[in-house]
Amino acid sequence: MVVAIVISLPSGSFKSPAEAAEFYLDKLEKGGAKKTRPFQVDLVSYTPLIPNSKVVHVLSHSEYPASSFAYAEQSNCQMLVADNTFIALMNKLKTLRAFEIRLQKMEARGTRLEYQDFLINLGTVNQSQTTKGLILEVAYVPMDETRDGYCLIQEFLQSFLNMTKQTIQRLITDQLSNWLRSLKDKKDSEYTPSITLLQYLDILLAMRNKPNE
Amino acid sequence: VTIEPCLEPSVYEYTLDGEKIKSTQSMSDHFTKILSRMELNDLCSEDSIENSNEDERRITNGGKNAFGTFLEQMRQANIEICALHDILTLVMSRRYFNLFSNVADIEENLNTGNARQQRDLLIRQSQDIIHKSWISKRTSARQAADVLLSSYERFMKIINTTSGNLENFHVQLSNLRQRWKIRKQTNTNKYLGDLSFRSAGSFYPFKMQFEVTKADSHKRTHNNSIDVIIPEELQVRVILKIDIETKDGQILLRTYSTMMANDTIMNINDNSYDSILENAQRTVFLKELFSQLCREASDITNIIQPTVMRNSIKCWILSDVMMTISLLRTSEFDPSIQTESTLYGAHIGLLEYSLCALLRQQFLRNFHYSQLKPSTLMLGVPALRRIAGVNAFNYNQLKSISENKSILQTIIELAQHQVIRARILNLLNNLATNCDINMTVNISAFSSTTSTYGRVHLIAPGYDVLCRWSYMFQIEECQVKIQYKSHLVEFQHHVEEVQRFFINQIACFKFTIACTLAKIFGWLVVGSTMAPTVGRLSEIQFSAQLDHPQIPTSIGIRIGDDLQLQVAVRKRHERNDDTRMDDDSNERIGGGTKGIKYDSINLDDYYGISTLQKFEMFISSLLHHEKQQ
Repeated sequence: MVVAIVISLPSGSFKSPAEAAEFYLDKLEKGGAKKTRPFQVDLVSYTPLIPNSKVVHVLSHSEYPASSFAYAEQSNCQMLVADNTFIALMNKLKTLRAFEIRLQKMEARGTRLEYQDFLINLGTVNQSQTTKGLILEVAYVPMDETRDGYCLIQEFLQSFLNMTKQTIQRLITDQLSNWLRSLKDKKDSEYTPSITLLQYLDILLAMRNKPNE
Repeated sequence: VTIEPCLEPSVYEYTLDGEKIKSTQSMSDHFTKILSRMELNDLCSEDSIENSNEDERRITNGGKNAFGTFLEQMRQANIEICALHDILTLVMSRRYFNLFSNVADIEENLNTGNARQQRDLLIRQSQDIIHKSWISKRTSARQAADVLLSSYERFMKIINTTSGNLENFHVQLSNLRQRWKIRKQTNTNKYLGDLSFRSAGSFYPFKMQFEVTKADSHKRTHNNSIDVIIPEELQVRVILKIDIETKDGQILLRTYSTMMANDTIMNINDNSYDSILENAQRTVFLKELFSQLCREASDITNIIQPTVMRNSIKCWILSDVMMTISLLRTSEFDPSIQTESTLYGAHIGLLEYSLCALLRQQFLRNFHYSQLKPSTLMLGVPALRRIAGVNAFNYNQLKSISENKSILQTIIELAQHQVIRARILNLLNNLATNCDINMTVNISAFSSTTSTYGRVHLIAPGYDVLCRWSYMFQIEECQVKIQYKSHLVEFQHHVEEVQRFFINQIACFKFTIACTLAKIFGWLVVGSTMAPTVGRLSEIQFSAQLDHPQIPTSIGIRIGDDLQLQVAVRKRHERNDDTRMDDDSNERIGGGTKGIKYDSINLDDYYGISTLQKFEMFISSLLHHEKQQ
């Protein structure tokens, strides 16, 4: 299992998010990372037609091709990890008029880079043809342990992308910080892929509400 | 016509079951009703002339004479009453038969009586009821038994008739049907059975049908009226034989399987159709397995390319080891030649089970499943794939699941590993028995069929504290990896390299431990061939010169070619004459002795169990001599 951090990169200083993506990609490649294949993260939100029911967000990540992740709002940070047939199920419910898709689909597309034991996914977030921002996921593959992995990834970001510690701490999502805080009491802080997807969800939802750049 | 006795309320009518007949009317009412129905006038209908019953005619005729009718009926009743009176007289006299009171009906007027009498009464009442009901059940059961017996006799008559062979055939056919797949072919009278594994998913194209017919009259025996015809190809028994031998002809393994769990000798006298069909199905299985192996062997994507000949597959699993898998008929196979490794009991069962499991995996892959239909998704999918989604397997993990290894590849890898492992362990065994230090080889319990892990420890007995070296080795299908002292060495294919490596390690170990021992006694290593810049370990001849500050003798030690410690001494004439290369002459070119001359010491002159102990004795004796002087 991996430990990953997902942050949205600030692209205000560039002319367009695409250029920002190019810049960061360049930087990473010069640092020694190698491109492997494209990656994609999708978010589809299903609103129920029954009133007073929760909205269901369904995510899929190309790094976990056999799984789909689902999250119901206001639930206590629990993510459902299911097979790919879950997406087919939600589509079926849509045709049966239990759910409908009111909000637009969010996609994060980009390249996947590998540097030694680190996995870097860098991509641009699109909402139906409009680019909303940049997203970066850094994962340290060999270990499960959250605290140590988080520190290691922080160091990696500091050295590779010249980010200061404060910037990183500002940029990580609420989900991750909540998770890290909750680890103080637990002895084993095993990281699961659903936490990665929770971070993605946070960022994509925030970007959805943000006005276009 | 019933009469009305004076004690009407206390007279009851009972059925045979012992139940009371309760009539809604009292008897006098009943009588009145009948009486009112009688026609007391002279008119009679013309329809009633056809009454055949005499009594009825008398009654209807007597309608003309109402009183006559009435008299007649009274006379009948009188006769009955007289009969009843006679019976009752007999009963009262108690000489011919007795009447018992109906216990169940004794009213509980004895409430005021004591409880014991009441309880006795209740017990007698219940017993009476039980007794009566038992009698009635026995009667009805007897009637049912009569019905069943008669039907049984009818059936037995049918079964035992002499024209019953037709039925016998059907009985035996149904018996056979419980164990084998037999269907009746429509439009004909043939019963065809199927021996193939099609329902398990096999796509073997050959027809494996057998037919069940009625036996001809000369084959008909008491037990068999049925005959099973199996196709010709399945009438032979086949054997799967596996040989592994080296280029030089040394046989490493020779084994065979007939898929028979108990013994390999076929019982020819056993004619029952069950065993015939079982043997035919074994043949089917082995043929199918072999054809699958042949198909995989012709696959050009194999790293090792096996050659397929008429009935055998040959492939070079290692550079000098060849494995042959062949399918032989029993006529071509002579078990007496093959004397090696007959497997017994659990091993044969395990081998056959593994073969079945491998083939079944292949069958499962034949199932076509579509991603679009979730209900069929799980057919033929390996178990890991089913939980992959829910456990969020990432890309690499998924890729490792979906790699399919063919049966032949599995067999080849297993064979490779077995051969290499056997050779290496043999080699280590030989080394351990022949060297005089303790060499312990431990095989890890985490070893699998395709990789073995283990450790080798080198210890000098008695001098454990001085030096203790360990090596971790990992034997894969084609290569051996050894890790020691933060070095990792890999050997591919050649077991001799491993042997050389270990021999060198042992030599180094002996050398090191001798030096360490000498150091304890105060000797210093003045020079040795163990300089860190020297090339590979295998090229070094281990030797060193030891000097002691207080003893004017230099010791030279060397590990000889036979891995034995060789010791030599040289008396030093001056303090620092080690820089002189030659003793007598400075000539280095040409003949003459080169280098420094040492006098060799025979360690056997010293006391000790091992060479190292003798060396220790020798060193301490030098010191002792010096002290004495």
